Amino acid sequence: MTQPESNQMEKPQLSSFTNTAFLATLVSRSAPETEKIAGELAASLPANCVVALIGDLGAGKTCFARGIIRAKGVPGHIPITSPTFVIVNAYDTENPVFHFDWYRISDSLELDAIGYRDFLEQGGICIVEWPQNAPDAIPKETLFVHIHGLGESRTIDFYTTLPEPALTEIRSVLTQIVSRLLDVTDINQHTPP
Amino acid sequence: MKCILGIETSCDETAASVVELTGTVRSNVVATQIPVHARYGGVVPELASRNHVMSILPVVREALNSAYLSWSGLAAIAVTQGPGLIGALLVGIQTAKSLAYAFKLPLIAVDHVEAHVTAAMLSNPKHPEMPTATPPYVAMVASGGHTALYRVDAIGNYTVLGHTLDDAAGEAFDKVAKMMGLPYPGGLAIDRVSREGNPAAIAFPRGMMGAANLDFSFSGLKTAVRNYLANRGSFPLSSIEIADIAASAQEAIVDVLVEKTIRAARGEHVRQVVLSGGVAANHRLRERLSRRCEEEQVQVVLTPLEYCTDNAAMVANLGRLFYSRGEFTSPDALDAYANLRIGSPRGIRVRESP
Repeated sequence: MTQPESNQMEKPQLSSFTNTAFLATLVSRSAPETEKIAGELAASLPANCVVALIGDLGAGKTCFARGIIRAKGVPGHIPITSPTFVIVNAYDTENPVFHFDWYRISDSLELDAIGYRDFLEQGGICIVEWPQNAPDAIPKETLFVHIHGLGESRTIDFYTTLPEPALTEIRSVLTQIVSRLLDVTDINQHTPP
Repeated sequence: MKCILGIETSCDETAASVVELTGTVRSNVVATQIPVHARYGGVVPELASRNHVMSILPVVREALNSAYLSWSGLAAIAVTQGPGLIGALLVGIQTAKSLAYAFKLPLIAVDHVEAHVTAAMLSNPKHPEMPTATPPYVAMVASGGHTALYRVDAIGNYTVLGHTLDDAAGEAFDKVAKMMGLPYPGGLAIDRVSREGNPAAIAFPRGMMGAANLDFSFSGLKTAVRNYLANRGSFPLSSIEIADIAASAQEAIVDVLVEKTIRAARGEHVRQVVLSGGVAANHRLRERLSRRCEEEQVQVVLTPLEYCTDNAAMVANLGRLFYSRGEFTSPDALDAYANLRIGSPRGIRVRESP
């Protein structure tokens, strides 16, 4: 049987990552826009990396993941559904994409039991929802995406521990997305005094 | 009468069952892990996975003992090969293979979702006079991991009519419950507190209700409940408020499930509708679907509760149906498939994208 005290042990925190570089903050005004932003970002991701999605229930993590997975070549007729119950959905694209949800995971030992490290070693992109449930299983080179906000719009913060040249590549794509979003904002919402 | 042993370990439950070739369920054992999981406020798969290994043999032994059966009374072993968690599936498959080898029994690989779709072919042990599923029918399977509508023309002949595009209905129940701080399992908690609530108190969105297809979306409901809770302020929820929010969220889920199931029955011109999967235990859903089916003059078959949540009786049942057709799986070809899709050839390695 399990020992309840193990649950009270101090857990590693995501904030314990050093060398985390801030990349950008942007605002998405709808779920489709969040999906589009993720799709644009997908092209700049290195072939093997972890994308950690942080945000409350209903923040739009699966929506963001869907944008990346579609951009990696999963056609529209294949549904990209929440992996909460099954823990992981694998997509057979040219470069494999694994969509994890650690919502029902309480530590990294559980991830070992379901073969998470095998998935990591296969290479490809590992998208992880609820990474804070097993922070010590998040590798040192990760893109962190923090989604927050209520109502329709979301503020999305990007941080990374990825080294160069991936760092510059992602930053430049994010800069392009930010300027595109600002353009649209100017046309639609800017009212002269 | 010879029997089929069914083994199910696709996700959280370790289960074994003995079903006679005629369809009589002799035993149906589920090593329910809820007491262990409840302490953590959610199902813990590592415990489940470890428990599969620890509990599979006692569960199989208990299934045989309570069926008053020895190994010589078995005709074959049926086992779930997917979809599910790969490590969990492998425990059941390796157990089935070893037992089949030791006792010289044939193996039958079973699709977990297909087993849910056909579970209502078993008669209700408490009410044997109730109708059982007889093809052609429309089946709604709603659980924590699946939400889809199927047309069933015969064993092995299924058409997917629609499915969820994001969250499963059971997941929506669980996450709404979690946001309100209700205890695990969330679906059960919502069902219970909703009885005191007003289902029309809050107009939560009915995802894809207007869409012409039979697909579902429950992600928007989750976001709507989150926004509702954030807007009302941080003071504690009263029990009346909890009941109203739960009842309203439940009504939003039930409305869509019932409406799309009825639309499917009409469109497919079938005389029977079958409700299955863990969410089929929800009282409001059972009551509303039964009423609508009565209005539509369609027979409703509510899968008996013990065959709704993950269980091995449904696996043994499908096993006996394949057995009667002489369809077996060679041990070499029997493998686990996390992404198995209903209708895929059993025992043949199907690589799908994804």
